[in-house]
Amino acid sequence: MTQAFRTTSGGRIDRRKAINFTFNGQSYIGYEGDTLASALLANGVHLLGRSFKYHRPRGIVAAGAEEPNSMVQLGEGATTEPNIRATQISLYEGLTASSVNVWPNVEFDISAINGLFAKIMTAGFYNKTFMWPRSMWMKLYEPVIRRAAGWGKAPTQTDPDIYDHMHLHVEVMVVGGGPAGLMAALAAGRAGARVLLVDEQSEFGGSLLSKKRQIGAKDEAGWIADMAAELEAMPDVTLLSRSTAFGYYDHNYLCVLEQKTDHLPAAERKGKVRQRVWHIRAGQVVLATGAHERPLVFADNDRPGIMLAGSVQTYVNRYGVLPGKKMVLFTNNDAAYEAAIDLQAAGGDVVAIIDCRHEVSGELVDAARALDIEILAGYAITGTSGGKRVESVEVRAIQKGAKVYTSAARQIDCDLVAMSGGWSPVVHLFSQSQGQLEYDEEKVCFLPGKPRQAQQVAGALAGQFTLKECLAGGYKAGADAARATGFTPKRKPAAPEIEEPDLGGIEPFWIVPGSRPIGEGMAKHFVDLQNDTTAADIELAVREGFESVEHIKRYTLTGFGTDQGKTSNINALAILSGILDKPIPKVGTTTFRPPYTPVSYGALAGRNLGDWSDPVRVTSIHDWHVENGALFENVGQWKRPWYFPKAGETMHEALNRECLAVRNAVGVLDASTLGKIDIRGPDAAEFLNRIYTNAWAKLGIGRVRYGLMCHEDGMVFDDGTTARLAEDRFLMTTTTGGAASVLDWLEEYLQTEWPELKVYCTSVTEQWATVSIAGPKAGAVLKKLAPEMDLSHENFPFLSFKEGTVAGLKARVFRISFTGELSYEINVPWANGLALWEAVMAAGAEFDITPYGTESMHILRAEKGFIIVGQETDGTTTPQDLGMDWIVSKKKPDFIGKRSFTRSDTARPDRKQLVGLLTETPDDVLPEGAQLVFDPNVPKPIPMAGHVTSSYYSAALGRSIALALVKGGHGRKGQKIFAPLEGKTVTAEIVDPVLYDKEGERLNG
Amino acid sequence: MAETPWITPAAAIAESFPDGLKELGPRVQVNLRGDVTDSTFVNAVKTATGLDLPDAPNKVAAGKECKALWLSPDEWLLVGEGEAASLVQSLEEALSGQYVAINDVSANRTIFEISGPYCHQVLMKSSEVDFHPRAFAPGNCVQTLIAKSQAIVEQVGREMFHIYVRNSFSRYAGAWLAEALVEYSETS
Amino acid sequence: MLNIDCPWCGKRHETEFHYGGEAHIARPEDPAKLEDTEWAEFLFMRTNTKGYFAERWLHSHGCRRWFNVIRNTVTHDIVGSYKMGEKPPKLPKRTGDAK
Ligand SMILES: [Zn+2]
Repeated sequence: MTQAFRTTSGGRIDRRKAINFTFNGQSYIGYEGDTLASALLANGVHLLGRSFKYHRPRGIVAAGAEEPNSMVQLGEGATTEPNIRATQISLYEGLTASSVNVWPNVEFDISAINGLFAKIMTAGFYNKTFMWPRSMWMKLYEPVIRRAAGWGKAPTQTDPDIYDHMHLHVEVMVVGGGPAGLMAALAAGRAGARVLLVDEQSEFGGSLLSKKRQIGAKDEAGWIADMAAELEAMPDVTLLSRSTAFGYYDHNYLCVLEQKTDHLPAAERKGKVRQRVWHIRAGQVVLATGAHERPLVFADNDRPGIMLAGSVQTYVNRYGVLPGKKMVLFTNNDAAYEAAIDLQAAGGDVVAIIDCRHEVSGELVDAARALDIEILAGYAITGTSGGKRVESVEVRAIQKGAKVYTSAARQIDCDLVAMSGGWSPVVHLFSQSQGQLEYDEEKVCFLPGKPRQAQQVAGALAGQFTLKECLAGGYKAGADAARATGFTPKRKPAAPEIEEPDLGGIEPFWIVPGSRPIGEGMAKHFVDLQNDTTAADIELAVREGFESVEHIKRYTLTGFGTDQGKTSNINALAILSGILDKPIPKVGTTTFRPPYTPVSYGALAGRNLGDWSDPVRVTSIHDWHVENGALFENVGQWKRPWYFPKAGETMHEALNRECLAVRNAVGVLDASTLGKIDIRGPDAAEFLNRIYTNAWAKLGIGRVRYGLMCHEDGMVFDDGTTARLAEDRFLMTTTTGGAASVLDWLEEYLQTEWPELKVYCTSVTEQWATVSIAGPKAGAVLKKLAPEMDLSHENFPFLSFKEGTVAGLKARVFRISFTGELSYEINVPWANGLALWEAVMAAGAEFDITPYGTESMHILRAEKGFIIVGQETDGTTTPQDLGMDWIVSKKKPDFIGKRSFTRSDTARPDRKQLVGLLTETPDDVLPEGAQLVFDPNVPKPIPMAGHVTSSYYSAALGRSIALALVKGGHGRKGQKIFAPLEGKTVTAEIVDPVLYDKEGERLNG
Repeated sequence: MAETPWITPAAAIAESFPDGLKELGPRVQVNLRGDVTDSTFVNAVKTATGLDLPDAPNKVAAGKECKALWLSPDEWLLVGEGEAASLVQSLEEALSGQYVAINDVSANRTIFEISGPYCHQVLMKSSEVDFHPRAFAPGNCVQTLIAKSQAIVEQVGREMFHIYVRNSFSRYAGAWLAEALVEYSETS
Repeated sequence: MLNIDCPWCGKRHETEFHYGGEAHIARPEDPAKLEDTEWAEFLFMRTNTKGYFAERWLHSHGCRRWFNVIRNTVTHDIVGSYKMGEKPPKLPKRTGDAK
């Protein structure tokens, strides 16, 4: 197919560079510089898809981000993307795209039969029809509706492309690279500010790319090139085209999506970042986001070939395309006449201008008349016909104020209808920044009111609809922004001579009646093309009691979807205002939320994927664990060895082996992940007294003590051992996951409650690698590694530490135990961790020393009834609940949490309390989290008695063991309790949580 | 004492680092806390190290033996070459009896060096702090996040930064920085 | 994303900070002397202000200092920040006002 609708010359396309592409399986040729939309129009393709609800044929309406209809499925396989606007896809060699929401194909679409049932598919149709019976929803309604109403298809494969994020700080950020934005960037850049200019299009110029203008000595293209060149030469000005500012957040924080390779053929994209999200913090923001043209709402205004007038002008001037050869223009303003004049100049034929104003005059009107174009003033289009393309329009004379036009109808044949209902400033980002809108009666649009953030507005957004106003307004906004951030703007350059037609007038005309009242007959007056919302739907919603604009939006779907109502919001609002008989400003607007245009999940995620979705923290011994077959468990951000299965071993077998090794010989654990905090100062002991529940003042130097921490509410939140290094110095350990929050909490009390305490806290977590050896042979292993260290129980008792040399490394050895066995925790500087571990493995070889992971550690400590914070506690557990009254000082007058222990709720006798559970059948291992009941035979719902917090098979005991929180559990020892599970109920006896070595005889090996 | 090599999690991947990124070897790093408004403290530190401790935020003060990075109003990281133990000892002696905290944290963090024309871009991909020459210069340091890892970033030259990362994060952060550079090393 | 002015480090992004709830709620001098209801008041009750609100922040990834911020809970405008123990800056007159 040739490009039958391409003009003979002109446009910003490169006619020497032909580009092959495929749409719905058909091959076409376009030019470099085309969008998919312009290339399709050049080939005479108007029908791009089917509408959302009625499956009516739809075509291209606009030329940019505001396009409601022409969404396509772009690409194939892993990189396919659904619902991309053809108007924003830069054409590249090999592009393939297809229609969405069509089945089996766009020419013959089965669901179009929905159109015949259109009468019942009105506003709220889905809400009303598919309510009952409820069971039908999942099985029948939803899958069918989803297939019928679905747009494009999400890719099923992993996205192979690279996305990333960039952070940028500038004094002045300018959004929009049209004439106003370019001037603003220039003013701020010349003043010396750091400037960022972003624009969503492939090149700067904005509306000037679509119009013919003389600016001083230059034409529009020359002027744009000069501006871009000067800005590019400024070292601290960043220019981003193909970049959409999609979100405007607090404190001038904006997000911009830069599409770096989407316009390139596949071969040229390889290895490159496809899309980048820029995170901008700006001192001042200049919004120069322009304006979108509004459609007119008339009968059957949705046929392919019915387009916005300004977009027709864009296709003619920028892309060298005639969207049609016989055009009718329907307008309520003068500015749209320029589209007719330009189309005629490019070789098209304008058969009539239908102007709904009764009196028309002005420079553009005269120019159209001079071209012998018929102007029907005081007329309206009251109907259209044509199947997959508009073929003719019906026009009638308007009777002012009438609900129905009864004047004689005249048919005018055409293949293109250009329409213009005026212009709506693109207030989306302004609104996102919390700015309030003000309605301008004269300009017939909402304009930005007082900004809420450090911000300027310029250009069409600010109601500056002529080029002359844009250039002056843009420069002023840029200069003001620079001044506000501490720069002195250069003197304003002299305004160039600009040749542009008079803007002329506009008369609001929100809804065009037909020969029958709106909502009667088959004609539809579409307001929101993407959601198939009609004017009748809005009327119906009001009749059904909806009045708030936010409710109407949700009931009729107006303004939803990928275009977020860019062409429909104001028309819907104005129609609502008419029905409610309230002025437009009183009706109010709906809320504009980010993103301005859709952003892919890939771009939002950036590089924070897979291993980088959260940092993976590893110890200095990690690679040894990997090489020796460890499986890993995530503990906070840490990877910790979970267990070390040998070849052919099940998890159960591996855990039994590891646990028995510790009980019978010696095991070794990488404990480097525990948090470590150095606490130093004359008041260090007093500080510990206040933050731990037990007493610390009398702890001897060289000794170690276990402590519990509670919040003020009396609930346990961390635990660990703390050693006294000197009179004024302690080394605290915290849980692996709690290290950062404990340090923050200590600082909080030191800085905010007790600034008089002289204490410094320093995190030293990764200064030390910690290797823990446990078991009856632990002493023998350590003796080999530290022959000079006195390991006698008299001189190195439980809960003490020594400094010395272990395996030739400077070390600190703690004698503490989390397993109940004789145990030493050897600390060496972090980088020496692996050397120490290997030395321990070598020294322990004769005892068959066994590396074990967190799972065995959990079993070993559960056998001893030791708690794990976060497993036996959940933020609602007191020390007393845990049976740990022994660690709560009765003598200290105050410590954090103390006062809460006597609150009525914490003193309740029926609180959930920690107990041990032994199942009746020793092989039954209860699932952790299982709910417990005292009597499984009472009628449902059975009152809950508690839950299982830890549960394992204990090799040492030859049976299952569990810990649980049970209501009033401390007084229920010996009683039975039940866990109703799927298919069976397990019976267990409530016992003391300490199940192994109750006397603690094994601590000394 | 046996000398052991400086093995960090990042070391295992450092061979594949692109030009412009490397992991430095061990440095003496000592964390010092004290009251900078107390001249006894400031003078004693000067005696022990020759350093005038910076009291302005995000400044680095350089001395002969070591430099001091401002971390907070009462906290500095002293960084140098040589023996940590001797620096700790001379500080302990000079500050004996004062309300201070001195910790050898030489093993706590490893240091990445990024350099070359793209080091600012790498930082823009990795951090929300403004490292533009107008806002940040040699002699500045900052505690912040590099990707999602806590870090200290120190500018040591016009196109050279040192990034101090806790060892457990070093493989994550090293890989992140390397990947951030790839885009530029392939085109240059 | 908020731009929070640390009294020491200057303006940094919200991601470097942790929120610390309402400011100027001092821990009672002698909790043992309080009735249950008084203790509960300290533990649980906060003002939930609409408008300018004094709140605590921790510069957790920076200088690790706790400090106070006056923030408008409607608009997120931050009027100022001040160190622990310092007096709050003067508040703008009406809540919800633009700067
Ligand atoms: Zn700070």
